[in-house]
Amino acid sequence: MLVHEIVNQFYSDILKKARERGLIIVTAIDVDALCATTILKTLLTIDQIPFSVYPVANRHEFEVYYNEKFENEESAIILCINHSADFDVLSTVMNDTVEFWIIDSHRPININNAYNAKQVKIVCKHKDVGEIPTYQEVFETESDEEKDSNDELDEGLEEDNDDENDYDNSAKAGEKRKGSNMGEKASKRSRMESHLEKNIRKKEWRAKRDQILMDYDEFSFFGTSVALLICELAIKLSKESNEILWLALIGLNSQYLESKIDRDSYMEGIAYLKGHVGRLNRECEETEPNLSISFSNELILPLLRHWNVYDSMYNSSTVAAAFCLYNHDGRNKLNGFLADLGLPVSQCQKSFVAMDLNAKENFENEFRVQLNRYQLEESDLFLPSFLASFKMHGKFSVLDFYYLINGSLYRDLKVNSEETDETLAHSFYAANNARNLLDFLTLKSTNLIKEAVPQGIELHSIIMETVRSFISKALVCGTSSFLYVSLPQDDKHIVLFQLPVTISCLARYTLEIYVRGLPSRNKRFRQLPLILRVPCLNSGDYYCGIPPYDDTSCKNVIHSAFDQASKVIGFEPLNKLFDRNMVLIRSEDRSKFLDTLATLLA
Amino acid sequence: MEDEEDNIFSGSDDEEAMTAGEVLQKLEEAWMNEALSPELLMNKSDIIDCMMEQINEMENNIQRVKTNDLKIYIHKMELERIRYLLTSYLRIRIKKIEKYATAIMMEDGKRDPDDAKLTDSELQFAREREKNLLELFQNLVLQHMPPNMQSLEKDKICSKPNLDEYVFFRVNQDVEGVLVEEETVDNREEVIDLKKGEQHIMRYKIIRPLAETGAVSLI
Amino acid sequence: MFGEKALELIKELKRCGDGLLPSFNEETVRQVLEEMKSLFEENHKDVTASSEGEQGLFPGVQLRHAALERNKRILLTYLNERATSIAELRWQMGTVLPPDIRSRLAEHELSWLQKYNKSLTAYMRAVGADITHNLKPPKSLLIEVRCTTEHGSIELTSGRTLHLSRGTHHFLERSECEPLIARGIVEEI
Repeated sequence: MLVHEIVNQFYSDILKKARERGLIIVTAIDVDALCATTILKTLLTIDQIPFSVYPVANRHEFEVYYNEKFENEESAIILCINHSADFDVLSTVMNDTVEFWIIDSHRPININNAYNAKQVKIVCKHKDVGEIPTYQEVFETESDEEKDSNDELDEGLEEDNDDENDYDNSAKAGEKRKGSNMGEKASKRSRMESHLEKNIRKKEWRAKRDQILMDYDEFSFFGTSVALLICELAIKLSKESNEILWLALIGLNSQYLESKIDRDSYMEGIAYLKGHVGRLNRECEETEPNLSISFSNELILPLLRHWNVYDSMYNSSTVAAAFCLYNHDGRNKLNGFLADLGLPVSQCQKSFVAMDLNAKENFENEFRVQLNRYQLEESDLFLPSFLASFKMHGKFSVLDFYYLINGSLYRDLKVNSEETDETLAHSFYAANNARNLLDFLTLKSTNLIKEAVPQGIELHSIIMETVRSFISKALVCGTSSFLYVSLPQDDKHIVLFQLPVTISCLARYTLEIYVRGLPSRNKRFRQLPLILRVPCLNSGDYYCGIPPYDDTSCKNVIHSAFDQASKVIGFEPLNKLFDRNMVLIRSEDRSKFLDTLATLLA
Repeated sequence: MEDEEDNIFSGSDDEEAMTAGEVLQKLEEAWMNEALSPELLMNKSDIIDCMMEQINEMENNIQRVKTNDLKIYIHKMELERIRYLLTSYLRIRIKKIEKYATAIMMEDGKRDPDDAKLTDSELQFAREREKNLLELFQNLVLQHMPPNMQSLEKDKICSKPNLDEYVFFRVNQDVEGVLVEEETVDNREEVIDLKKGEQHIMRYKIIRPLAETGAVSLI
Repeated sequence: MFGEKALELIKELKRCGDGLLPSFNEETVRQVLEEMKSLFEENHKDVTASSEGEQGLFPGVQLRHAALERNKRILLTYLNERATSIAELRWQMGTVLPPDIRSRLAEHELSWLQKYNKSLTAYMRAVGADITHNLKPPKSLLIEVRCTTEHGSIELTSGRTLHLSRGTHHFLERSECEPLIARGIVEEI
């Protein structure tokens, strides 16, 4: 069931039920989800509602949690943050008393979730839903079923083996019993005819339904950031604070940086938050608050404020793509650009905070002026965004926080991989990562934030280094239907690329830099999706598919290709991930899988 | 809110004719004094028993009302606070008894049993404490010592509270002619009058009797 | 010097600081007892000699006696201080001490702890309140805790079960959390 009234239908309902039935928040571990969870925690703390937060890394882990660990929680309310809207949550759930609430930006919404009125409730905005097929279009109505099953019994005819969902099957079983008590006497012949007629109609209907479902499911895309959604809830409850707005900004920003939403949707969110930020950050206040936020047109250079100009530019995917920074010429070009900006080498290599004041002030303006000469547009490198000043701890850009949070994730990756192989097998170290992140995001300890800076820098450098090595070693190969790149099994940073977040970062940067560096005769590659293979440390391979560079709609068709390929060659994904553009399959299926994909995407 | 309060605190007008609020106030005072005085004070078992009863009463009342009301939340919170006061008070006493068990029991031995500082259960605890410690000494070292060293003079070795400790206090009722010995070499004596509402810092020994009667409260 | 060994014991306790209990130093205790024994024997010899008429032994006897008294006092202090720390540990960690701490206790100290537990429990039963709980003044009814170990499921007083696994956060009633905090399963945020 879809719920649009976030205060009246969602929050008050949760408040009413949570104390007695228990509230379990199961959160995904991407930046947006963690921000959303943190805001929600703040709200629940204010209302003194007991809850438990379980961070999970993938669908498999969620199912394990559900089936093994919450089995006694028969009446619990399970709140899914940023996962599960796009697959049938009830497909693996046995009991029918538990209630799922889903706040998720993954689209399209699974049709079974959308029409389950009792156990599944999806909180979303009207505009995010898209065109959901009507109930009549996708579910067989009861009256049809009744006749249908009577026919089946009397005539002992066909057995349909359609891949119907559970809902239909159970309904049918009930009808069958009912039907057996009915003693209808009619001429066999006319029944036969009418049955055939119905059968044909039914087949037509099913074909139509399949088509509708396929069309509906063709594109995967993302709706409103969940952090923003919960921030809106906070605002409606008049419980907003700078911390909450800041978390919503990080969530929204992460969606844009991960290419989940286009610039227009991003700007829409920014415009909404800007009003509230302005309201809560009036200049005239006498005491300086712990955190104040101000609007700013930010350069999209990773961690610029905590790094130096040269390295930040060198590791920016946009700059790297424009200047071809994977070869000698590219680096010369970057040096030339910096010279044009009027920055001496010594200043570029100095950490940004220590830079000459004049140079720093002129930096952004000069940057704008010089951009055009290098085939860059202002919108490529500038993004309307926000700056946070923490009392006594300097300024942080929303953009930087994205890298810092991912960096914090990376710290735990390293620690865990040193510990034991067993923890490594513990799918994605989710719990431990998120533990630190949830602390980090409460923003209470600015030390934690500062500690994350070197980690953010390190992680980002490693990703960019890997991208450069892909390109300089010519590992990206183009087929007729997609681009393909594979991370070597012996890559020394492979442990980092076991997380969906880093895998998709790697894929995105690779595509951008690769495609923009191509000679013009190869322009057709701009229209091809990229598929990245990363060997999983346990067993099997991750495949991540991202849409073509020229496609700016932020809609992805790869997941349906993945789904179909798995149907065609009949493999079961080893591990189900939250993002449908990523799969984990057995290594031996690789060539079959890629061949099938080539045909499907052609 | 008032009504609810009475409801939750029902059973308050029993034979002692103290309202729940008064009991709580008494408990708070006893808790403060006990926490701040260097020695163990008289037991306040009447207050404690009364409070215990009321806690149980309140708990039952809360359990009867099953709503997610804000009122219930406030009452629960209040209950937690009282429970903290109670346990904290008992805890402070037990820790003092642990430390000065022998000294306290000797002191109590000189008093009228009705005026004993220790409650029965505290006395039991103190006795066991002393006995166990002596056993420990005996088993680990004393029995291995030369014969003339094996005996113990309890009163000589037991630790005693430092009555010369300085304490802050507030005067609750006027007291005249308090003898203050100065802790200096020339041992001058001074007599002062304490007026209600005044606050002083002095050695505990001087105001010891006043603290017991409630003429001053430690702060 | 007489009494030097004994002083070491006290120094050792002091060096370890508050809340950290060093292992029971059996060796040094034994040495102190031996020193006492030899002091006593010498005194005994001298006293016997004196009673037989020998002169000038008395100051020596007195000095040794003082040393004996001092050693005794120090040994008892050592034991008393340790007993206090052990009792403190029981308040902090509950009735079950972790094995590494248990191993630092002498056997008699363990049995002392057992008796201590028993009389404490008896006292708490008599007053009808568990005074090892509610250690901190309550700020709010519910507190947020983070689970630090894979613990598995527990049952709450409300009858619900709660699954505790590493890295999960829970917002629960303080009274439910306190025993878990004491056992080190969760920590308060």
